[in-house]
Amino acid sequence: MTSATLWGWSDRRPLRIAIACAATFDCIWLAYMTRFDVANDWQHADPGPVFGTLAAVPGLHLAVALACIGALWRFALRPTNWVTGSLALGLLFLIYETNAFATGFVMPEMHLAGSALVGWVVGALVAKGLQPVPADSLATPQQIEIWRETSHDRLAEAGAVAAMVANYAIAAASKWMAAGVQWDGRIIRRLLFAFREVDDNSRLASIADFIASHPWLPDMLAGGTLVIQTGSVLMLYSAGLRQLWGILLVSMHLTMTLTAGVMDPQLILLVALFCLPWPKWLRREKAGPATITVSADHTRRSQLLLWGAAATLAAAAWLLPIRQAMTVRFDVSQTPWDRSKISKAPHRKANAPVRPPAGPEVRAWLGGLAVGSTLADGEIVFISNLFDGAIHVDVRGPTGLVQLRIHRSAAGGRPAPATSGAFAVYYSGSAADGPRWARALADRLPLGAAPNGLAVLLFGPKQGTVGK
Amino acid sequence: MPQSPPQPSNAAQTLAGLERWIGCVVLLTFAAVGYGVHHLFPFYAFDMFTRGDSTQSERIAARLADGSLVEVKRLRNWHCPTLAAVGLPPVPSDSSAKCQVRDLMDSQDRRAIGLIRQHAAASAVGQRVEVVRRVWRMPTAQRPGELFNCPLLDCTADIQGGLP
Repeated sequence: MTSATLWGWSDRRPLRIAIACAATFDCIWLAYMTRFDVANDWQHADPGPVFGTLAAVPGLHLAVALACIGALWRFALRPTNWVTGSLALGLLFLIYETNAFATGFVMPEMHLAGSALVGWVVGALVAKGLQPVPADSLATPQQIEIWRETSHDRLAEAGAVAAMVANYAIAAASKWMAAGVQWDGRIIRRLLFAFREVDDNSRLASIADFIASHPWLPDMLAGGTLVIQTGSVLMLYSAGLRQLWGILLVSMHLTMTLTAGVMDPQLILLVALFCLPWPKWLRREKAGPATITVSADHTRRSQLLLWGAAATLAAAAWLLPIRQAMTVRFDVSQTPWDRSKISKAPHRKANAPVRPPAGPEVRAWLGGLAVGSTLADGEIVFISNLFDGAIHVDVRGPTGLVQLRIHRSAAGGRPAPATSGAFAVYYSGSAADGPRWARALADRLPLGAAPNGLAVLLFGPKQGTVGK
Repeated sequence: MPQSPPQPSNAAQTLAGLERWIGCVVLLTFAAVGYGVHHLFPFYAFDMFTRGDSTQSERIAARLADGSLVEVKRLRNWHCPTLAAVGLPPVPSDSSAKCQVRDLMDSQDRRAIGLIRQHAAASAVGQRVEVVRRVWRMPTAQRPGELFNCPLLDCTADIQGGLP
């Protein structure tokens, strides 16, 4: 039986530095996205006290991010220590989950560095339990000590590679379970179209266009992705297969970067460092010990502990309601959370259009309608004063929030889903509830004089104006 | 009963066996936990490219007066009379069936509409700009798709810097 590592008895510090670089990139990116990305400037589900406080207090968030980066680099630059690795992992978990709660998104590409860190820590803990003792009749005590540290790092590396492989293998298994060989190139074309900027006239964009417009090419890429991800488990078998699959995985990520513009440099860095024979290429290969001693007792105990921990973790994942909790956190209709609690860049507050709440004139005109009133099976949660030529009524129901707008109705105006006398009601939001609630609101509008300034809606999407 | 002292063994083979054992446990655990929790850092089921309707795709863009399309981020001082009423996803209240898109790329919509809101101006300045949802329909894997520009918002905006 031969080892699958490509690093032999060389120093593994570059591998720990690669994990630290990738995780630092993730940490900075996640912290930035949580605070500043405009894509997150929407209503979100309640993140709970821990993640809500972290998201809302910039100083605390920054402190956790800096502590995480500090722990990562201490882990990288000193001999493997599972305590600093675990600390870095815990802080990275806080940064990642705060971002997920505060933005409503999970970012799968940010998982690989965390997975590698988990695997490394697990491997290091097992090595600590096994206590392998290298020996060689010609070696000095210093050389024996270096081999002892390296043998620990070899087991840590095995855990890290397996955790990374797991990410690709799970991705492949998900595709097989969902569609199998039916997982064709349309998903590639969908991504190429959705992620490419419309005004990108570069050579890469023309390549992406060429791929998207020749269906057999995305089909080939989809098939290749499936083969590469499925076969990634072979990286645990032999050094040759690890090198081959390392090249294939780097090629896959580069293809995604070049065609869809999806930049994942941290993934490329990790795969390239762990799965390519850098010590051989740089002529830094080192000789190892002739023998190694591992106590049978230590082996039995370590195996028992590792399998026990794995079974406990898996049982907890399946038996505890974690999955439901993870799903509910993105359901805005279940637990709405006022994102304005997060202090944001000042320019955004200054420029954001704010709808003024209904004044006395509008409230009087609407008669019995007020915040808290029911409208069909929904509840009115906001009524605006006249704003941009309309009165806005926000209604929340079982499927979420719908915004209704009351405009003046006139010939030449945009066709409305519901009208009542001189008024037209439009909606934005769920097509399941919008038309019904628009109709219900129109039925309850008074027929008398409207507040001054109510305008006809001329702009916006019009029926039959779809351009090819 | 006294235990016999551990015997030295071939270093390469012993470590290879231990590496493989650790690798198998970690791999299986990640798979079991990933599918169990679906997503809880650092575990994930990685099924994001298996969900959604792969027969369509979409991207929000800005159409200038001359008909050319640019990214929303190239423009500033947006003034859109119906912006405040735009929710997520920005679904028109009446539009052609060709523009009704299922399983939208939510993050793309959020970013585009978020940028317009971030750079909103109090009054109309600049040129007229139409915000459109470009919808690409691919009913079969074998045929090139059909492309439609579905209007979402009529606005005015300023072009910042040079367009590509």
